[in-house]
Amino acid sequence: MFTLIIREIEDNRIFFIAAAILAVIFSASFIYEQFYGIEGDEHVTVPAVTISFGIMIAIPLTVAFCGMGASQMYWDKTKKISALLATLAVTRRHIFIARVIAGFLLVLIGFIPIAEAIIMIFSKVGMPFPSIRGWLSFEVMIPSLLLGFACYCVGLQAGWTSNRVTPTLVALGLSVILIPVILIKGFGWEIYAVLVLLIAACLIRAWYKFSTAAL
Amino acid sequence: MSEYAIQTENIVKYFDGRCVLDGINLKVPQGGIYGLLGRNGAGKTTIIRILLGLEPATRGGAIVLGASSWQLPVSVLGQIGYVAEGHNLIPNYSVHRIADLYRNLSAKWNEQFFRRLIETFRLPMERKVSQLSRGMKAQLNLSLAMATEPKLLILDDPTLGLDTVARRQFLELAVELISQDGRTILFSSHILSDVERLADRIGILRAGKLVVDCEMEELKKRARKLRLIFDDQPPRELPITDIIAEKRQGRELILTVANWNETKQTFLNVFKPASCTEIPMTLEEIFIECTASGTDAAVDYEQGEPICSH
Repeated sequence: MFTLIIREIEDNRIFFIAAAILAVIFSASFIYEQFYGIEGDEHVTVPAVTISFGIMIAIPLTVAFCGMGASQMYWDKTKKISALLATLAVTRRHIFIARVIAGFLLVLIGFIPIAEAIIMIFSKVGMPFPSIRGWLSFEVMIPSLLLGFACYCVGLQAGWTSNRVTPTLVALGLSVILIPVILIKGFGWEIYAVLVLLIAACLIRAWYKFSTAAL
Repeated sequence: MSEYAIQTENIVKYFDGRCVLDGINLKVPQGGIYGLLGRNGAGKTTIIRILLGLEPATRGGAIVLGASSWQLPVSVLGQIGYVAEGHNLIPNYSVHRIADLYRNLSAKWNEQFFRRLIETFRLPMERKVSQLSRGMKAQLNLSLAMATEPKLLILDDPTLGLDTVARRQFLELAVELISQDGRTILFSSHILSDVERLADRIGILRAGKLVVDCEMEELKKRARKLRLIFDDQPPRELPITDIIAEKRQGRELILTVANWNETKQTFLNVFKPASCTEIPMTLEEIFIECTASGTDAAVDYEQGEPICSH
């Protein structure tokens, strides 16, 4: 299993690098704002800038998550990777689980720098700012993780196709739809439910396609 | 453990409404080399893919090393080596990386044997698979499959793309592998001389049906090609079953018959041919007779059982 996960990460390293870079950019700007503030328009508040910048980063980040899922499945189908792996001492279930674990790791990598930035601020100032407390709250971090993973799962289920256009359109569509849904609806249990259901549906669909397909 | 490494039960496979395999009952005994022959599109690769669980059968199923082929457990997969037609290796991986993948994901791995094969074939470890020639890909695929020390080795046209020397090396390797107790090889090939040299049992597919399934020697013994010369015109119909092919020219009748036995000889003698001589047949000739289409006899034959099935 470990070999399969490593293989998935190595084959999709471009997505891991992209996610890490985006997360580091966001974290750096976040830390900068918290310590040095924003000069200029006094009506612009620090959290407002952070959130708007976060949304700008979140869109390419979710596209990266979705793209990774789609890319894993698309290249598997076109390069017949699973057709090779499934003839070794590996089942389709192993391949699929390793793939999903790699996807989840990608989502975590997208969020770990942000979490680290928050921890750094904590250790520096000794007490949380009100805005940091908001970021740290369960209500924000968990839906953000779920959103990233949901995007990945949609990409995963859409990617098992010979068509290059479909996965790309799905990725873009999701970025456009899911983020505004959260912004409009706000963070809460409804969002948990929607995202968990979306993840479950996508994973079940992707597994069904993968487990019954000719490799 | 069953006496058969592979046993299929009435496998039927349709692709887009077209029947590709029609009721295949194949039995590959443990510890032998089984040669699967057939023309392009006869269904050889499809059978192999179904056996490996890469392709679902429309109906029927297969038991491979005691497990259902569609859901082979890791313990069984670890005992199977496979060389795919076209050498299905991940193109952007280096030889080294592919070898690492096999090493880490195989149940067994014989590094010494693998190194020996790599040196024999002179394969560059750092080169990408996509940069290898077709022959080198074949050699790499064979090396990888053999290094896993499989109990069952499935080879789908493995010598395709190999030069004469490499083909000979492969045959020697296959013999070396099979000389170890209990190893079984199923291989399909277009090169009949390889099959004739290597296989001890043979199956011939024709238009999705298994028309021959028996031991090589048995096949050669039971498939007869006879040149019959009559005093007058040859009889229009002969009361003999399993006629694979017949060719008439004047007083001469050339007849290819499967499952030849004394009863058929007796029936033939009733027509009192002036002379009856046997034309020796190579595997290639038997194959051509069995798979050539167009004759009525061949069409009739398609409805029947395999010409020898034991």
